[in-house]
Amino acid sequence: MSSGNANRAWLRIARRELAGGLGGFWIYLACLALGAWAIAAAGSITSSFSHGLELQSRELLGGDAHVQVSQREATEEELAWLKERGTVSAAAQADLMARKGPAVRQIDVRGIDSAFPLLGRFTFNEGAPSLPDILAKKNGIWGVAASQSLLDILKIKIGDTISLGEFEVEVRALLKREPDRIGEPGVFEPRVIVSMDALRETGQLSQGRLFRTAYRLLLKPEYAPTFEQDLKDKWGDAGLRYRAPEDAVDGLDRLLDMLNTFMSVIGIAALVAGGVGVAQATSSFLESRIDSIAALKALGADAGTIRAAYALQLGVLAGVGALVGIILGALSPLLLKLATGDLIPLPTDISLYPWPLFKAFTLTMLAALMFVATPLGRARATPPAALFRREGGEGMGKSPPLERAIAAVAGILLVIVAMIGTVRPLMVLGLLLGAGVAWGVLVFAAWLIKRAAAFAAKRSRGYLRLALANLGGPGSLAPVVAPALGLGLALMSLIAVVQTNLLGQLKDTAPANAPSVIFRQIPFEAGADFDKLMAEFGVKTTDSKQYQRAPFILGRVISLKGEELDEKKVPPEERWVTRGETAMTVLGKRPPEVDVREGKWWPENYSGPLLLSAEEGAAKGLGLKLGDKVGFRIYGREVEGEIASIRKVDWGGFGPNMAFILSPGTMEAAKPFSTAIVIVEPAKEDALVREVANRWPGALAFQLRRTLETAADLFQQVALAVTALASVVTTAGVLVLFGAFAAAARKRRRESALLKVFGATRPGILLLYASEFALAAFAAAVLGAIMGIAAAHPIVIFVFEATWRFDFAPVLAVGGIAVLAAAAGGAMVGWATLSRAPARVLRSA
Amino acid sequence: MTSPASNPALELENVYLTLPAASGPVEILKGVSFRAMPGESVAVVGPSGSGKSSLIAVATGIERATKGEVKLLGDSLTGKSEDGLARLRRGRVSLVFQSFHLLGTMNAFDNVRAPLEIAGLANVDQLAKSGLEAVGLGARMDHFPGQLSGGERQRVAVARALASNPAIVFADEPTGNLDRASGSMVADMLFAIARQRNATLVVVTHDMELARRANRIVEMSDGKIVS
Repeated sequence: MSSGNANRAWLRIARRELAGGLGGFWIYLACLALGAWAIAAAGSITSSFSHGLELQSRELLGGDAHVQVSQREATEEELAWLKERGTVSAAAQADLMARKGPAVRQIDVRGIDSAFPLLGRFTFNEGAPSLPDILAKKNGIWGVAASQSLLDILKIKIGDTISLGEFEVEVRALLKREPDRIGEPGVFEPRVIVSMDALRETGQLSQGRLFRTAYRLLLKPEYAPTFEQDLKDKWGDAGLRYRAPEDAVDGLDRLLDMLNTFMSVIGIAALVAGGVGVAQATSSFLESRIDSIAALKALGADAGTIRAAYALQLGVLAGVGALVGIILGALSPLLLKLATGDLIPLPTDISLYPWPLFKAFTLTMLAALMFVATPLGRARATPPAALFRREGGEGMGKSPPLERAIAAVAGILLVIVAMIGTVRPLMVLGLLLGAGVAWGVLVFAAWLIKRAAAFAAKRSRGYLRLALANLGGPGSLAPVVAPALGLGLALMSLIAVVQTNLLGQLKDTAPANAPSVIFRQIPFEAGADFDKLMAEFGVKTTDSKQYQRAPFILGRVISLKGEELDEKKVPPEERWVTRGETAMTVLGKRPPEVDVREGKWWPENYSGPLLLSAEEGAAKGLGLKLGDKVGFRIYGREVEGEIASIRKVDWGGFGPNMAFILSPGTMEAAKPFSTAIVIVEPAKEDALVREVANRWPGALAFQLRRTLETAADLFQQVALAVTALASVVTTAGVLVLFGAFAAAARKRRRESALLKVFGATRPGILLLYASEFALAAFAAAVLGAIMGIAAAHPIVIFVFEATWRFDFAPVLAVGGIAVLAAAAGGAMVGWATLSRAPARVLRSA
Repeated sequence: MTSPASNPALELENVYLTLPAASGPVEILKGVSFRAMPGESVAVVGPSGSGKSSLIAVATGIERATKGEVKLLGDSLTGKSEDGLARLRRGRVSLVFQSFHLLGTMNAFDNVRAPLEIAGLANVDQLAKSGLEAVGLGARMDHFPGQLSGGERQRVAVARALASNPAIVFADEPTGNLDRASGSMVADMLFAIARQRNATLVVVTHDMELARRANRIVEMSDGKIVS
């Protein structure tokens, strides 16, 4: 055969076979399309959100620049400087107790000036008055717009009057949407919008109160380019914090990047799990063509022609699968928008984003190459004589080194392409390596299962022996089902176990150990009366495990080890300490639950230079060791202290869970408000909060137990969403399982007919296949559970710093469903094999 | 159920078989009547397409006759459910196929053992072992079909067919896929073991040399028995 003819030959073979239809290839296409869709959808959805956020970043910030001060308003001088540079609008954020009759709740209060908002607009209920009318003082009462959640909690309606801390307000509108809601950090429900003048008039914005004030600016063009630097130069030491429009979406962008990374890895994991299906479909296809291949080789077709002919077909089909996936991926932002409506409060820019689509296509084609190369190599390398010698089981030999090398290179390229363009390439690499190791373990385990089944078959009887013999012999399901299903089940088990642990922490451990209520802004002079009231409500005020009251100070970290703080050097996960004002307290005696890991606690009656006790994570994040100096600005005063000890904090537990604790003797003169953490019987909690609100209207009560319960519910929803995303991998595993069912139904038709010839009844055959598939799925479920639990343990302990607890229920549920589904599928395989008379099956086999 | 030695092991009375095909129904068997007595060996010969294999299929109940009566080991197959037919075959009726039809996922030992297990016989391991030893494959019990030659596979199939001491054995072109030497060896074993165990043997073949080993030769043509 001349090379020209050979070229035409492979093309002709490929064309003819492709024209024969896609029979048996739907799993191949579905596995690739699923992975391509997950990757393309992740990229397209996050791009649509990122672009949407970018386009609306000014509105989300509320202007061109955002300048914030804590625990005070801007001075006249500062305000004048800002006003010189553009139009300015002020808004203050404070916590206050809202009360109506017996209902009391700490809420988020936002005070705004008449210029607010500079960009965008509020949305209120239909028929609501204008914003100035809502907020105006009428007949001596200020007006507010309240969120629906507040109306529900206080059981009030528009027109009702409620207490807000020390003053009365009238609810004049339902607050539906705020223009800058997403861009504003720390904005929670329930909440009200009120005039800033109301807050000022009632003393809510005085020194020592917990509030922050933000000034938004529409900058004059001549000041815009240098505004940030000018602000820093002029007011760098005054605690004015600047945010640009891009910062308004900074946190969300990071969240979206994380989501994209997670989803991309999920997509690639789906491609890997589905890859078994691809390899299996390829092998089945090539085995069905084995006579043609043998004949072609016997007639002089060289291995290259065979490889090219079938590589072209498989490549075209992979392209079709990838294309279907990326089309669905490209449509996903639109479909998500249609499906969720306004449930996701992020702006979107629905458009075609080529890069994620191109990346998804490339990754899918590489995954296809990785899984197709080996069976293709086996087919092209198998000599014609051997092809004719097959009987069931494995018809083809081993893959030659060339194809194995191609598969390996495709795998490496897949990892490299996956890393390109992500903000966390190392995380992607780590996750993919983790998936790769898991994969390798599963493939090895599948081999072990096969051997174990062969061994067990010799010691079993009846249909179990037949099922085990099938599982242990050539053409065993184990190497197909165990890795594909195992990977998906490992991921599901991992999520289920992490979820159970964290939910347990939130629902049981934390509420049992954490305070029920945190009272803040307790006047300095009310200390003894406050303690007395607590005792009246049955709180053992002498037991530090039930009650602690201490000064509460907000301060900003301004220097570390004598050098000005550079926030960029602080790891993102520890920036909560440096981003704004951080909470601190002053303690003389070491509370028993304070777990000092390094250094020593100061003496109870210490009164020397300021010493600090730092939280372990914060100290590590800020690079602090014993003896290092940390500078703070507290109530406008700069102080510096030395790290005397490093503590481990149980964030879910009872005690001073703060980054820094200060030694006594330095801050008391400022008469700071106190904060108390209290464990009180749940039945008395509401009455206690009510009484405190009545006696000290300015004091705040944060009902932590209730919040933890709400957080547990919220977390459950988040976990459900994560499970839904991760289920893509399980879907790939299930697709592979279906592929195995379909392939088995084809392959086992002859076996089933023979068993009938031997005298097996139909229930017997159904039982045989159900138990064979169930055994394979059981092995996959056990492996998946072990791997999932092994991966979950360090995540729970080190990432979430929670106490490990193990609940069999979710793992058993995941595994049980898989086994039952596989058994049902196996029975369906049996049923499918029983549809024709044995004679006809055997005649055509 | 009665099967005294004087009653036929197999009896077909005016049997018809029509099968669907793309071009319309095809009449395969056209009023076949046939008997085989216990311990007798009968060879069914005839050209391709004459209905020989279909005769075996109908006789064993793995294909249902369209019309007529089939009695196997004294039991009428008419009206029996598929599972009823399967139970009837258990341990008493065996088949040897031209294309071996071994279970590719099982080794030689399990291939022989599986029908014994399904039949619920005792000492299945011993029976399977002696069956394979009887066909000279005692040393290859752990081999899978893909590791055996064509002749060896057919010897496993013969061992599988005879290990349960069946009352009747059907062999459909048992040497059709084998070379002369292997074919001869398989035929020797098949006839010798069947005779030794007093089993009725119905062999369908093109090979007159093989046919002549039987007690009786029946010739088929165009779906009918012609001699």
